[in-house]
Amino acid sequence: MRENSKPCFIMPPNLLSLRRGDGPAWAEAYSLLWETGMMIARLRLAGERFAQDRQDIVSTAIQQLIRGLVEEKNESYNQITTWDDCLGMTRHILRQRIKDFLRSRERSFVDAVEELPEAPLDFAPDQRFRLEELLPEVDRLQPDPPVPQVFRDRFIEGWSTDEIVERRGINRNTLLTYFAKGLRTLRERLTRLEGDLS
Amino acid sequence: MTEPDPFRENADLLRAFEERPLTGGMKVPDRVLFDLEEARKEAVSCSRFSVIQGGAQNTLKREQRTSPLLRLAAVLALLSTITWLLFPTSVPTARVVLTSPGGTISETRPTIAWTSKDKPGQKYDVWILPAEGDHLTAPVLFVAKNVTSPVSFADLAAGPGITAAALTPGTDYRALVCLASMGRTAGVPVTFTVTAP
Repeated sequence: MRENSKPCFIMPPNLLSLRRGDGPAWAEAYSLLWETGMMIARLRLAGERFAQDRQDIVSTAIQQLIRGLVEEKNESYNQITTWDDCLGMTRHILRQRIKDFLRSRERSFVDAVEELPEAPLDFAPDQRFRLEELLPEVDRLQPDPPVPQVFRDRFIEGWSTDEIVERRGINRNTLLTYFAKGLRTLRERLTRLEGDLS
Repeated sequence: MTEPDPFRENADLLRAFEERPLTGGMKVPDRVLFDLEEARKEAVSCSRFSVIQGGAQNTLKREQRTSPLLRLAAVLALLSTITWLLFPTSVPTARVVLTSPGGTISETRPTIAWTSKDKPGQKYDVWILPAEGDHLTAPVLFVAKNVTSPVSFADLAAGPGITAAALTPGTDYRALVCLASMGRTAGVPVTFTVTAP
């Protein structure tokens, strides 16, 4: 897993060129913004059935960023001074759009993963590991058999808590306990890996 | 008691997965690339400070060329507004000279007459007021609206609560002629006295 997770350094596009609407600069930025958007969309809007919606929503979010940055008509875009700000704005737009999408589908907001707080991170696990790659770890460390399956239902298939309750026929509180245990395991595992790497 | 919320409690962990470092290896679908390029071109055409890539030299957009003129117009408009607010224009006033009544008269039902430098056909409102008090608020003794010179006394209507059909000898009055429908501000009152017989 470590071999697959070598750090990759990306040269950020020139912000001034992006503001000028420079074609080559934006062509360079598209793939990075796309990757940024898909990271969030795959986690919050997982599942094959949302594949098309994910693309549409991420595309729309990036288009909104382009207009805001190039047209310079909005004060919040004028405050963007770095490439990281661009990524942050893309994430912010995307989270709002996914929330709107879920609301339009009348998905339950009891699933807090659909409206995670915007507060800055206070925990920095090694971000080179993908959630999917850690699911086997959950499977190995967690004796309760349903945990990996419900994690897959939630984060890969994109089912809501209520939908998993219905599909798996398990008690809602039991399911939430599985999630709590699984996430705790993930956190411990990440912390240990981070320690090993440092 | 609130329901346990493992996702919110581990929001930082999930957010970390959302914001992991970029690899730069993800291909953007062609149809998405097309939409993004369209959005960029549209944004460039709407940008206030962008340049149009054309010919050997970049050409400034018309908006950018006219920008100083627009700014100048905005400044002038602002100055005009301030001037208007600080120095309000005078209220239009009837440019008339009252020829009757004036000074001292003996008639108790005088004809009101005036000469005018206003535009032809200009209509006027005429009042006869007591000599005392502010002419804007003094009680109306007699009034005629929307008339031209001369106005006979019979054409004047008595004011509210006035029963007299003529002026009282030995009393001072004011005659006021104003532009029609402009109230009592658009004219200058002239004092006259009706002498005792």
